[in-house]
Amino acid sequence: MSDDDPLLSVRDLKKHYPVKRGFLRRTVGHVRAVDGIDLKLRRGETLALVGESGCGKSTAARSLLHLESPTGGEVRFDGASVGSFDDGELNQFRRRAQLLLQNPDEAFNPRIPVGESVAEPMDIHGVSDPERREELVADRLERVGIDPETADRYPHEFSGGQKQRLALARALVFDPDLLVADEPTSALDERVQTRILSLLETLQDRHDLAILFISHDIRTVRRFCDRVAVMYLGEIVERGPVEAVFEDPQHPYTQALVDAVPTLDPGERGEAKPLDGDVPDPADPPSGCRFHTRCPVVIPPEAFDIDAETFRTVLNLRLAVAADDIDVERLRGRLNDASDERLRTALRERYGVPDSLSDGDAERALSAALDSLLAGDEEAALEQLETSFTTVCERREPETHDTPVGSAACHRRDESPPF
Amino acid sequence: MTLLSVEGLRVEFPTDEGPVEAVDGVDFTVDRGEVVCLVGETGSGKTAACEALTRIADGAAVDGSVRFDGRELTDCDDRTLRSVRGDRIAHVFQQPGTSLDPVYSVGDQIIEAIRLHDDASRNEARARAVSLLEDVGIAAPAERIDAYPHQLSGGMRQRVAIAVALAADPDLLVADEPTTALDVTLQAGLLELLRELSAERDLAVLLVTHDLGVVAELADRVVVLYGGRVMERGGVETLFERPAHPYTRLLFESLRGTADGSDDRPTPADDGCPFRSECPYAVPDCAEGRPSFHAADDEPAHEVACVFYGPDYDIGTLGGEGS
Ligand code: SF4
Ligand code: SF4
Repeated sequence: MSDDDPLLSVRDLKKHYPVKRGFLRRTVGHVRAVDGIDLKLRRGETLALVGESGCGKSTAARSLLHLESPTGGEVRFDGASVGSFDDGELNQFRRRAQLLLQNPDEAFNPRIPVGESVAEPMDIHGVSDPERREELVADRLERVGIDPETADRYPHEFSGGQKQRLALARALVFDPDLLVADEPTSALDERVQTRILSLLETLQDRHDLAILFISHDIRTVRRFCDRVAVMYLGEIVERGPVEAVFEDPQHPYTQALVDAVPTLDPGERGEAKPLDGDVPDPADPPSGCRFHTRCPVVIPPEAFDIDAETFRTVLNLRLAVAADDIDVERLRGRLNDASDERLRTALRERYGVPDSLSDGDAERALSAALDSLLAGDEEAALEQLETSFTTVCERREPETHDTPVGSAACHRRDESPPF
Repeated sequence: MTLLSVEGLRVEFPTDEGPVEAVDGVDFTVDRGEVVCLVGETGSGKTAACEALTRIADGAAVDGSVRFDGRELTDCDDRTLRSVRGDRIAHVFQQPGTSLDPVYSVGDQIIEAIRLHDDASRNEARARAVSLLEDVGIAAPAERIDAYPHQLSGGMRQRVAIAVALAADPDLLVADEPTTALDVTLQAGLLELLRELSAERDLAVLLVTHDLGVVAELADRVVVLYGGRVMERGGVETLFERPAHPYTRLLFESLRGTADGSDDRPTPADDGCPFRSECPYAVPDCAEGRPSFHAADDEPAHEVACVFYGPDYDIGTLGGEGS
């Protein structure tokens, strides 16, 4: 294999979990935690996998390492397909591809001296010569900046940062080629984070280590990683070089992640924008573009002349009706048996819908739906809203388009928007 | 107007190896309607300091003075303290689960909190609970009030925890890393909420955090803690523009990727500067007694505890923006 060949190549990786219900534990559906992702990672390179919690990034890590067997797709490591490995090859793979977790305490037994815990992978992989073991442990501890003399101490005698170093020493016992680091610094103080990241950088340079860095923290990723893949609800929505992607996001989800980051300049406070709503249930992902239930720039229907921001508010109202989240009678009670007029205003206010939509047809459609809702006919209201206020974003899955520096899957990048 | 004034606060926790000093003489004040951030790393004493105000931590020995609205809290008996804790000073924690009970609906929890401090009828309390939920940004409060905590997302749970905290209309909200457990997409909204609450209700907020982004978004004034002592304090803009203490400077440099210092725990408290084992500028004087507070610059409230700002040294030798 040439130098350009990726060390790790993941194609269409899937991990679904059955949802079981009832006395017979029948499978009634699947949680599509990872739903067809592609990744490539070269030696010496750091690739970030970012997204909110619940987007599937940790499951992606575990299944590409075959710590959980994938539901579909292929993982190739150093040119060979991991899925076809026999036990011996799998063992070999496990030595060369290591996982580092957020909480180092998980790697250490409080009643065992840390040196022994660092040496533990050698038990599994049959390195029994005591001298060799001691030598290896001392060497790895030195690499991560821990005094080998302290190997006989217990975990509680170390600070959080030192424990993460110890966990790293343990991951490095077999000189791996690939390190999958799942939020390795998010539980640590700022300065400790910086030190651990700089240690990782040094080790990477020295040993040509490939690092898959899983994180929700954009600032850290910008500082530390070369390329990034942005994940939402089991899928990769954008990828490219870190600086270019975060400087000028091409996917609305990436943009939303960037916009939410707090400033470090008190003079600019209040500009960070939250992304409303929760990550939807991966057992029942939204149709079309999975981000359409939250996307701030979801594409408005062609029939109306309304902007994306307004359409977002109407769509939120529609989704709330669909989720049975509006209880007109309760609202009426709360407003002391207010008139229908007052209720209409209250509902519009709740979802931020303007008093009157600028497009006459759109306004008529919305008013009719609100009337049905107030008359207690939620079904009719929903049907009216779903017929009039629909978007290409929910009807069709966006294709992945090339961007100047990478790729993004969004209808806003379609040549001629397919209304 | 000063609402809370803390002086010479000390907190000790008993351990197998004898008492450990978590807070070692800390002073700060919070005015009505003001947001003050206690910033520090693990082991800086920031959580211990704010839990000591109303003595929520079991077994901690608290010493010094905590004056709240003219009353000395360290002298109060448990009963008085409990009522202050419920009525006037409310706490919000990192994990919203800490303040919410999983077996009661959110409405019941807010209603109970309201009725504990006010003899409102159940119906009145319920109506107030609904508007509180609305105040903390729950979109459909009347529909959500009967939900159980587990039926809500993490972000909504933290908002509900704030609603419970506000139920008795407190004067001071003590929030310990309230956004740390949340996704960054939710953080901005919660910070905005705290900003609004403080302004609209003239609520004083004491915010404990390690995250300088949270500080930049929210603080009026900042108190930087290290090893149980105050290193620096000042207005947020001054402090971000001209961090003066060597520790504060390292903190900001680390955000820019400079990896100085060590992962060792802070040197146990003694009489010198607690930062000296990590400090790039340390001189023998740093071990001689507590560095006293000096003006950091022309800003009257910007103070630093470091010998280099005293009369015997030339701060020019520290270099950087602060000189
Ligand atoms: S396809 Fe539509 S909903 Fe999805 S990200 Fe693009 S604009 Fe937003
Ligand atoms: S007093 Fe000394 S050790 Fe402490 S911060 Fe100042 S120079 Fe550094």
